[in-house]
Amino acid sequence: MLSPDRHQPTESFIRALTESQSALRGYCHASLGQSDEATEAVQRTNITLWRKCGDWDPGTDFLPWAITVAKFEVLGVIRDRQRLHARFVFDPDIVEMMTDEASHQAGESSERAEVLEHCLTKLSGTNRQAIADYYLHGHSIQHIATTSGKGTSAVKVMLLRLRGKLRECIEGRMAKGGAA
Amino acid sequence: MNETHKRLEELLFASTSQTFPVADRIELNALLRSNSDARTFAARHLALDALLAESLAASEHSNAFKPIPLSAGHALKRPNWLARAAAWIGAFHLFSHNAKAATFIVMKKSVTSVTAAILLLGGSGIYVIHRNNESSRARVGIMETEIQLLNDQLGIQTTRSSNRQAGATDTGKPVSIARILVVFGGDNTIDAQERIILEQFRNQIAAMDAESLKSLLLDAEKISSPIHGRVAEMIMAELISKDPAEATQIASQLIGRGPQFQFLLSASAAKAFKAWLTKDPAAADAWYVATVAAGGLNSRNIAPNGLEDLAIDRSFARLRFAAQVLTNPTEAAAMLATMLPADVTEALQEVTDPNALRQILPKLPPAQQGPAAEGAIKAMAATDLNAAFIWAKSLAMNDQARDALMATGIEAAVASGKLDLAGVSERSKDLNLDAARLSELLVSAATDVSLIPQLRENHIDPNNRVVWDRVAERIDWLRKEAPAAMTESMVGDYLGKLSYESHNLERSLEAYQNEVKRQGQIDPDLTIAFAFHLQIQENDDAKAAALDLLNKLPPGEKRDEAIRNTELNR
Repeated sequence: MLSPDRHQPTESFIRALTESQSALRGYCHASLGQSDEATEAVQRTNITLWRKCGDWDPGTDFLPWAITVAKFEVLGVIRDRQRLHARFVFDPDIVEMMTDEASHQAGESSERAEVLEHCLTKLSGTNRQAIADYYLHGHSIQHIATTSGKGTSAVKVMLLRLRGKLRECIEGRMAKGGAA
Repeated sequence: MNETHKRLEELLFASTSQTFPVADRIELNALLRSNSDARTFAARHLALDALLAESLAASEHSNAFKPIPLSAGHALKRPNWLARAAAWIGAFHLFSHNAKAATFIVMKKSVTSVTAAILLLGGSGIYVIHRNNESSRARVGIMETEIQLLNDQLGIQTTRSSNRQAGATDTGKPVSIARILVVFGGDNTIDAQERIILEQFRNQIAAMDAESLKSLLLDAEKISSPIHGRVAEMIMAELISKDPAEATQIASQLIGRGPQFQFLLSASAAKAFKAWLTKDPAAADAWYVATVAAGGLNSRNIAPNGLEDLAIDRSFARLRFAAQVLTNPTEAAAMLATMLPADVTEALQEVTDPNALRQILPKLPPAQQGPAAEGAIKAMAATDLNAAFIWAKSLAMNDQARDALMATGIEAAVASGKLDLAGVSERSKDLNLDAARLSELLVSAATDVSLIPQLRENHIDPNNRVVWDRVAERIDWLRKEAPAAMTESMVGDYLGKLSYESHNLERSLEAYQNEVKRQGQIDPDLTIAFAFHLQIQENDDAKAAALDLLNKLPPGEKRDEAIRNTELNR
């Protein structure tokens, strides 16, 4: 039976949940690839964490616990899709391997998010729009090419190049000590 | 960046496309499988992509809202969890509007609700940020609505909801799943207030389309996993009426998530498939054949404890077989070799078309033919016993099986009020029934004519269930018709069945005592049979009464065994 009291999150829980979003999103996407399954795993994880808020001891680190929950949700998504014989970006055994790899990197996500926000400000308006069209709005390369009047290969190269610059920017700033 | 990393980057970049080539997918997986460095690179790459999307979303949201500082003169210091929460909430809104192709398990509602909860519980200050911003008011209004929905969903009381009188229903607001779970979550009683809530919920889901019902079902499972059986049953019933195909498939997919849910879904899935077979037999049959061929039912073929026949591979096969009997007798006959005899009998008992049955019955073993035809003869006898008898006599089956089948027809005619006890005497006199079947028929008939039909379904009025003042008259009829050696136990059975059906222990004990007085003695066979029906009731008083009666009998093998069984059953 639903126990309403267990659904009364404390401020510290909400704060921890909020702060772990980047890490959880990164973890699920790293485990499952950029896919609807990853988005679903993030959703499931948030819902499960919310439901289990009473299980978290504020005296302990939130993220390791949240990542453990996320791993179960990632594997749950895979299991459900397998039942429907759906095709994934990653094979199920790769997902298992990637969950381990992703958990090693989850702790860095918050800091990387801060740095990324700074790096994004370095992009020109046009380049930023192209990145947003692809990564945020989910437009296809063909669509971006059509609306920008460029070829698909040119768009693909441009996006990879912009992404590479952002990665270098993040790595450079983190090497210097972060976003501050 | 080495060559492997470059290739990985290309593959990961391309993998987001709907048209990601199979060969590339295989190459990507092979690279990751064989190379731990590749996995590290891929994990970083994908995490960065996710971060990129989130940061862009948060940034777009922040630009749209232009939040003002919480306190004048004090800009938000970073990192600030509240500011991140605001950004995250905005990101969720953007994601929910821009997500790629929706999957079959869509949880947008849950996502926005969790978001809203964060807004509510962690970020009351966010209201401060937005409330004086003219352009943000409409959006804040939407968020507040979401908050309220979440509160209902998770049973959280907010300022607004706590202002309402506890337990009061607000007919202007939808009843949430969480509220229904609370209704079903306590003891098994439903009070008047809860009945109103349930009725409101029923009306609510009756107005929902199939897609919304499907989402609601999945939401309900998320909130309470495994979902409460009765909640899921309510939603499934509505979904079955709207879209049995969708209902069949979603129920089949959800089976196996938990014992409670599975039990419910096994039954609901069968109802859905039956409805689909009725509505669109060709599509339902094609789905079944394709699903079985793909092994799709095997993984869900988990029988609820003690209810193996509810496993969906068996229940679906029964339903399909019954449908084929009506539409494709040749295919139905071919299916016999692949089915358990018990499933064949159960399936055919659901077939009420006498002509369809006439074709399949000869293909069954003789002992199975009579039981398999029981559904049809019951349906016919409930309206026209003569026609039912003519049909039974026309069937190519042995005399004993046919007579047993006709006895079933008599029982159905009595139960539907079409035949009285004199009619039973007349109709049964020419039937060649063994003593046990004759006894069963007579007791069943005497019981059915003694019962008063109940006006409300699933509700028995103990004070108005049996015509008690005619019990002696029915017993006299039983004594006249019964095989001599079984008379007393049949009377005991009859009185016991009245007790069981009426839920009125006091009146049934009184009827028993009256019969003892009429006979001038306590008959052991009568008492043991009567006590049996008392001890199988859930009521502890009935079990105690059974023991009391049995202990007054002189010691004997039957009596001692009855006492042992009653003690064990307490």
